Amino acid sequence: MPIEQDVVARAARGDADAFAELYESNFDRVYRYLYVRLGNPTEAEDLTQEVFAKVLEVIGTFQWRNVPFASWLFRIAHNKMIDHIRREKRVERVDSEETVLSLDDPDPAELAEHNLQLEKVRHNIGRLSPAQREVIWLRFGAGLSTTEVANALGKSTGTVKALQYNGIVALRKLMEQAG
Amino acid sequence: MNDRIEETLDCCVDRLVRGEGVADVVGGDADLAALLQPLLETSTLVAHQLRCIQPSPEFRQAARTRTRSLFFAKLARREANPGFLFMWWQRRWATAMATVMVACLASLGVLAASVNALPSGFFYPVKTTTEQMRLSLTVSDVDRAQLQLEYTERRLSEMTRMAGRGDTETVLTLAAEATRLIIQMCTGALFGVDCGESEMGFLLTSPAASAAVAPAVVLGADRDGALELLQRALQVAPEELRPDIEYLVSELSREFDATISHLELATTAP
Repeated sequence: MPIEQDVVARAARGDADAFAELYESNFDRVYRYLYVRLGNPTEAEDLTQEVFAKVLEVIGTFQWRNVPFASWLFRIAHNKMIDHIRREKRVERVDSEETVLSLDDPDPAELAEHNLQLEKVRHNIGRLSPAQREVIWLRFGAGLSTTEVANALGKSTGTVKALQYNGIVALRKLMEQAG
Repeated sequence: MNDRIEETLDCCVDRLVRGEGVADVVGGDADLAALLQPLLETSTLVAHQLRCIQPSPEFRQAARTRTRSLFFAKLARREANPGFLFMWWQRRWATAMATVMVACLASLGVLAASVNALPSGFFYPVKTTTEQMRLSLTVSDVDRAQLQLEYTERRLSEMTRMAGRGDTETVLTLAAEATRLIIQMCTGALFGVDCGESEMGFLLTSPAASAAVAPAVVLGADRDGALELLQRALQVAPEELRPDIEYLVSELSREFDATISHLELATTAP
């Protein structure tokens, strides 16, 4: 039995160590994904907690079927985010209200430069097509593999690679135009 | 041709997301550099910027605390309501097994030897198995709560003794087990305390979590969370259980404080 499959099975049976392992290895990237999508750290924090509460509730129903755990987890994160946007009746923010970056040496000038760059990146990604944008968020924001992204989005790996390529080409052009 | 470029870019993105630089990814391959250099630079910028986004340490800890509370509350609910058929089957099975085992072990004097066993000891599994069997054989909610209080005291005492030996990993495991017993008792039918929405200070004491948080912090959070739960249970406890709970409250503080002192002494010792 592959290691991840074993950890998920143990977590579903109520093994605290196994659940903690899944939690620790996915917590940051779920937060990062929600943050880049919503552009608001407070909302990202609330939804991150909701995602893991949901995982805890339904992990017993997870069936392996060769779908990686991360794909299942990010489908939950994606659905939570969509529900949240509908609930709040608003469109996704392209520009964030405030930015929280965690740098080892928080030099104010460096921090401001990072914030500016991050906002530029978020803004340009927000201008891609919805499918390209989703692939870029999951690949770069959440750090998922192509197979995990494909399973999370219900697309083939070939389609994901094409969307990724075209997305990066478009992003390059947008960044050049923005100077 | 396009498929090959997309495939090559995908492999490079994998490495960039892991934190490698463009120069490492391209290596000495001039063709690859000519073909993909601009796209790799864009990818690096995106990967770097997004990697900087991290949850704050305060949020990380608060979220861990809440998730742990939810996890143990769910576990306790599941153990408290295993379903009629399962209970019937388990009780019959446990009765038969317990009778056979107790008869065998008692004749060998193993039960007596296991009473004071520590987690590192040969007889410790006998001790915990016997406890589990007694719990599953106990029908009355009050008797069950009394056993849970007794076993929590045992875990706490073992925790302090293992701290004296410097075995931090076992100490954290025993603290988690004591906490689990308390949550199980408090969220059971007799007390009905809801710990799902509380801000109790439990932390996930997995190896991964412990690596990120100092053992003393984990133990302090466990102590505070357990005390809060016991105080809430005390408000609704039947009269016959109140002295036992009050005794556990005083013991719990004492054992946790002694354990934390042991660990701090071990880390500051030259």
